[in-house]
Order: sequence, then C-alpha cells, then structure tokens
Amino acid sequence: MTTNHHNDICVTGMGAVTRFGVNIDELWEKLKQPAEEAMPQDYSLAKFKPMPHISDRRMLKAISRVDAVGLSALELAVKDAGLEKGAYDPHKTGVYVGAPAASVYDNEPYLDAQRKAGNDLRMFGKTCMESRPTTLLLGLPNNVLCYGALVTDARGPNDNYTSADLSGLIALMNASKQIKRNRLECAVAGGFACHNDPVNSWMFHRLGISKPHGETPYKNRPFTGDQEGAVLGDGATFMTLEKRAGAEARGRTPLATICGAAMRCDATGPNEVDAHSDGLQRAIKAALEDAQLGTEDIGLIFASGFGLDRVDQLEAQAIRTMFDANKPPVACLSQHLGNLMEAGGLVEVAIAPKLVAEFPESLRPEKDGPLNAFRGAIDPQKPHFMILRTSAWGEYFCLIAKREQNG
Amino acid sequence: MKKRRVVVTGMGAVSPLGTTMAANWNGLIEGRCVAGPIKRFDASEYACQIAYEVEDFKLDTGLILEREKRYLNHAGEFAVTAAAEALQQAGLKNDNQDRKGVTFGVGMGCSDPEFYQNVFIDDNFKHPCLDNHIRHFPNQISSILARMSGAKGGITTVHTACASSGQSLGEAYEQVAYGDLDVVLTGGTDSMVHPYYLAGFGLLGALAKRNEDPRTASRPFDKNRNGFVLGEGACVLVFEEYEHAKARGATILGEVCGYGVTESAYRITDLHPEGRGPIEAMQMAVDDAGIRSEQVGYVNAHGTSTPLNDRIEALAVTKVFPQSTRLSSTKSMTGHMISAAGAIEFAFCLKALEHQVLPPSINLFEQDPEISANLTPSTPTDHAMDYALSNSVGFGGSNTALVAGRIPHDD
Repeated sequence: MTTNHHNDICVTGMGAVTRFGVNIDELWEKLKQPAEEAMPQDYSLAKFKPMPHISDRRMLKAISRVDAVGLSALELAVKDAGLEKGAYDPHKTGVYVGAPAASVYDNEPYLDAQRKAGNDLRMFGKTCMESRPTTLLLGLPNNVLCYGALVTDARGPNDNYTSADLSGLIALMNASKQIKRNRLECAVAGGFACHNDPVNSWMFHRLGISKPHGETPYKNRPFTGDQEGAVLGDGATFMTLEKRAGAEARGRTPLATICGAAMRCDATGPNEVDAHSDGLQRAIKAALEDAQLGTEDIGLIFASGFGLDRVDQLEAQAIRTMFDANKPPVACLSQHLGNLMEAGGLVEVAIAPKLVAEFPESLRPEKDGPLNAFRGAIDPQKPHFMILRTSAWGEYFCLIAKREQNG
Repeated sequence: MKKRRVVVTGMGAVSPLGTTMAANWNGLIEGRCVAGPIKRFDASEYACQIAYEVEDFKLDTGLILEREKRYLNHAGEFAVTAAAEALQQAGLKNDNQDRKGVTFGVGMGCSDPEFYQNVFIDDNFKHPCLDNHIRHFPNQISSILARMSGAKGGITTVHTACASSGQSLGEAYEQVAYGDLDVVLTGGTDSMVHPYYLAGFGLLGALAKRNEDPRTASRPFDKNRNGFVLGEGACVLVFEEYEHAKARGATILGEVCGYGVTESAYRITDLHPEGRGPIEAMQMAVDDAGIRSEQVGYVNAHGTSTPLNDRIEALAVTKVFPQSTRLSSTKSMTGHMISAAGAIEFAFCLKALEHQVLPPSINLFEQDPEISANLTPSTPTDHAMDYALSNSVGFGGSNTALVAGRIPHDD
C-alpha cells in the first residue's frame, strides 16, 4: 500500500475513550506507570459520560450506551482533526466502523412487556406494543456508522464490521484502501467495544477466552503463560484519514501514515486456534509486502498481548521467527487497558511517537519472558512501526504505519 | 492497480422458496408465494402474524464439526447449507489457502426469549439456557464457512442491516478485483422470525397488515402496499478471479462487473425523499462496471413493499436508468430476508441473465400511480440483456448496488 508522498494516507486526528479517560496525554501518563490490578468494573466505561462529546444530544436518546461510547470517540477524532463538514466532498467522505454485536441489553425495553405477559410469548405480542417504539433500532450494530455519517455528512463508501477482535483494524485498513483507490478523499475509521457487563463477561469466560468476573482485582497478563484468560477492557478509538496533500492544504500535520495491512486466519472454526499456526507470520509477510518493506525497516512492534496463553504463545513465536535478525523493541498496552476486543490495535497509533522520547518499562515485555530479546532501544531513524492483533478464533492482523512525529 | 475481472463459480441458497439455488430460481419463475401464518411460535396476538418461513429444512450434520454445533442458530444452519452447495459447485481445490477468504453478511441474532426470562427477569446466571446464548456471536458463521472452505486469507464479517450481504458481496468483489485475494466465499444469512423482531418491526410500523391474506401481503410497488413481510434464509456465492477460474476449468456462472456503496446520511430508517444515496450507489456501480446505464436490462430492487421505500427507490431508479430498464422486487416471493436479501437478489440477477428472463412482479394488482418505473410483467418474460443490477438499502443508511454481467467470453 505504499504510495508516493502526496498520496500518503495520513492519520490527522485521533479520538480515544479508555478506562483512563479521553485525553491521550493523560493516557500516556498512566501507561508509563506499572500496570496495576484493578476490579472488573474499573476496566469498564460505566462511569464515562458521553454527553459532552456528542454534538447532537438527541442522538443519545436513539442509541445504546455502548454506541454512545463509540460515537464519542468518533466525534473526538473529528474534532481533533479540525474536520468541518464541507472540508471534503460528502460523496468522497466515508465512515468505517468495527463494532460489537448487538447487546442483549438492547432488548431490555421488552422485558416489562414480557413480565406483563407472564412470559407467555403469545400475549407478549399484545403487551409489546406498549414498549418503546424504536427498541429494535437500539440494537443495530451499525448505529455508530449511521450517526457518525450524520455528524460528518459522510455520504461515500462505508461499512460496519462485526469481526470481533479484528474489527477496528479491518475498518482502518478498508477505509485506507478506499482512499488509495480514490473512492474516498477522507474517512473516519475505528472500533469500539464494551463487553464488561455480566452477560458478556460470563459468555467470554464460558468460551474459555476471558477470566471470570471475580471479587478480587486482576490485570491482563500477556506472555506469562496465564491460562485463565484475558481481562476484557472497554474502549473506543477512531481516527481521521486523509491524503497528505489534503491534510497539508488544511494546514494539518499528520500523526502517522498508514503503509500496509493484511489479515490471515487458521480456518479452524469458531473459538479454535491451530496450535502450530503460522497465521500471524503470514499476516506479517503479507503486510510487509503490501507496504513494500522488509522486516529490517520495522523500528517498533506493538504486540497484541491477548492474555490467553494459547494465543500469546503463537504471537511470541511469530515475532521471534520473523524478527530474529534485527529484534525491534516490543511494546504492549493490554496489561494496562485489558483486551479491547473490537477496539484493539488502534490507540497504539497515538502512542507510537511518544515511545521515541521515552520507552517506559511498564510497556515492555516481561524480563525472562518469551520476548525478552525484544527489549532494546527504539531507533529514531526507523519510523515504521507494526501493530499486531490476535484472537482466540485463530485470526490475525498486521498493520504497518509510519510515525510522522517524534514524542 | 488495474482491476481484475471477477466471476462467480458457485452459488447456494436456502430460502422459503427452497433449499437449493435451483429450487429458488424455479420457485421465482413460477411466481410462487409461500407466505403464511407464522408456525415457529404462536403469533396470534401480534399485529403482524405472517411470515415466509423456511420449511422442510434439516441441517445435514455431516457438514459441521461436533464442536461447531453449539454455535449454530437457524441463520447459521441456513448459511452452512448454502455454503456447502456453493462450494460443491465451485469445485475448488484445497490449495493456495492464503489467497482464499470469507467476507460474509450477518444479521442481528437474538437469544431465545427464555434467556431473557431466566437471566434478566429471574436473575439466574446459572441457567442452562445461557449456553444457547453463545449462538449470537456474529462472526461465528463466517468462521465456520472459513473452515468449510479452507480459506486462510482472512475473514470479514459485515453488518449493515438490510445492506449486509450487498456490502459483503461488494467487499468480496473488491478483494478479488484489486488483488487482495483470488477466491472469496461471500453472501449473507438471517433469520428474524422471532418474537422480539416481530415486536420490533411491528412497533416501527414496518410490517404488512394483511394477516387475512398472507399470500398477497408483500406487494412491492403496488398502490395498496402497507409494509414488508419477514422472510429468512441464506445465499452464498463463490467469487473468483476470472483467469484463475478459467485456468482450473471452473464453470463460470456470471460476472461481477461493478459495485457502488453510499451512505444516505439522512435518517436511520428513512430514505432521503429525493433518492439521495441509492441514486449515487447505482451510478457508482454502473460507472465502476464501465458501462452505460441503458445497457442494464433489469434492476432487482430492494423493494420491501413499504410505502416509502418503494416510492423513493423507484424514483431513484428512474433517475439513473431509462424506461427500457425493467424493475422488479423479488421479495414478494422470498419475503424480506434482511441480511441475506442482497446476496440472493444478486444471485437472481445472475440467473436472470443466464436464462435471459425477467423475474415476474407478483402481487402487483395496481401499480402505484406515483411510481413511473417500468415494472416487469406478472409472468416471467424473455428479455435480451447483458447486465442486471441488484439494489440493497439498509437501516442505518447504507446503500449498495451491484452490477451482474452475463457469463463472459474471451475477448
């Protein structure tokens, strides 16, 4: 996906909502501290208030709280980019979203009707007519796409992905491709996820993916051999994408450029990982080919750090195999933020430049762990960085970007 | 990068018309309407009591692994069955797995009502019904399809409501056309014949109000239409790069020539009154195909039979295409298959081109005088055409258009 200079696909704005707030600099300060264990509710965004971040407050009545988190991050990105409606042709502006599945909580407005009907589904047909008329719309997984397009007047190519852990990165990749193909001039792309509710946390635990919600604090422990599972983290990250020429015409300095991306899978079916998978290696190779780069060009790797041993082992193996020669430093955010699922692999774009000036121990892989050899210094002359994403479903993603700023 | 040609080498379908692509096409041409009172649950107290349900369907459990059973709801079973048919027809070898992918459209998925009773109302998190709740993860179906096809090039699950499979086909087309992959298993599946969805669509006023006469309830473009009727099912297609297909001697069923996708950015459920969104999507698809609009012989409309959608969509069609382009909606025969609609309707376009036949417009008793589009006759009609186009429009504002072409011959 490398292009000439003026056609570089640049990240010009970023909006992120994490357990540490919405300010990237404050997030960075937290990430520099050792990751501490926290209670399950501390990984959720239950206390986050979307209202200040959503330009049309009426939307809050039409969407779920989870969607409000996603929309907040989208609007924060647009604001950060200084992107006003009309900056680009609406037909050349698009929104690409990685979203979670409809939540069971979206059907809560029906519960009163179901109670009134004494759980008689025949009578529910009558009592349901007293429910909120737009209940069905609450559960649309593409609400953030719809309302995001409304606030940005984005009428061009678009999509909404419910591909679980890879969703946000798929959105970013495909938005970039549409810009490269000149179907779009500008896009807002990202992902969001809020799985820290009793039902989802039970479900992921039942699938053997996450730790159970317990009464004691915990943290995600990637690459430590932890078999219990990942700690789910809630979050949302969106970014604005424009060609360099367009960004410069608007007086914007890019944060990064998107250079290449690829995904692969094991084709083993749901919730299965091939124990001998080379899926991540294949994704890395394909992304490097897409970016027209070699492994020696990569100055930094953000590991996915899923938090489930059978997945982490494969990731560690892939990094060791592919980067044995030059061993770029590895960073990982999942100890602090939890596994962000659909929102994973995105906020790293904002963190990459900061690591040049200071690479805190808190973000490095553990000493004596499987990635011990990847604890070196960042080479400021190697601006390309790689973001990896893994899943418990045997799916793998690799994004390659280049930082435009240092620190 | 120069775009590569994309052809279709396999198709499979499960719908109320039948459980194979052939049965679906035959039912369509016969103008068969199988709508009736809902049998899956007692809907006698609901505002809308009718649907198009898939009947006489039993999953061949040999298609799935034991460990996959827990992940399959109705929609999943439909998808697996349609995928098996498509893959058998395509006859792909299990090589170059990195160059094969899955891009699939899915629906909302919903736990059984007993889940809500036991978990939300009775607060019982240990109830066994929770295990069934696992079935509504949206990407499980795509994951099983990847396992069935040996596709290791990546899995993309798309959800934009009624535009889901239109967008999944469009993305699959682009993945092959631009060289990301050589083969993509694509399509969509859905099954919303469920109390919560019947309630939901009913509350929105979107469902037809002809319980007494289910077989004429879905009447796209008719003056007295008053809503859509839920259907269900799946359609799966194999998209393949043309030279790749020729080299292995694949049977080519048609071509995917162009794709257009837009966002109305208007309202979550309503189309813009001037057709903004669909107009641009259709024009984009025609331009992408490198053809003129008058070369399109037939448009398969989204055509839900709602007063607003049909009028505005027909207006949009007349703004893009001349009167020589015929229009119909096949939802009067399949019901509204929601996330599966775009895929099966594109398949119908391919079949129409293969047989040079226009699908009939059934239940068109009196064309809405506000609709000037040239609708197809009430019986199947021979019609020489090289291209057809399939429209899909979704809640949330996504609009897709896909141009289908006849089986290509070497230049």
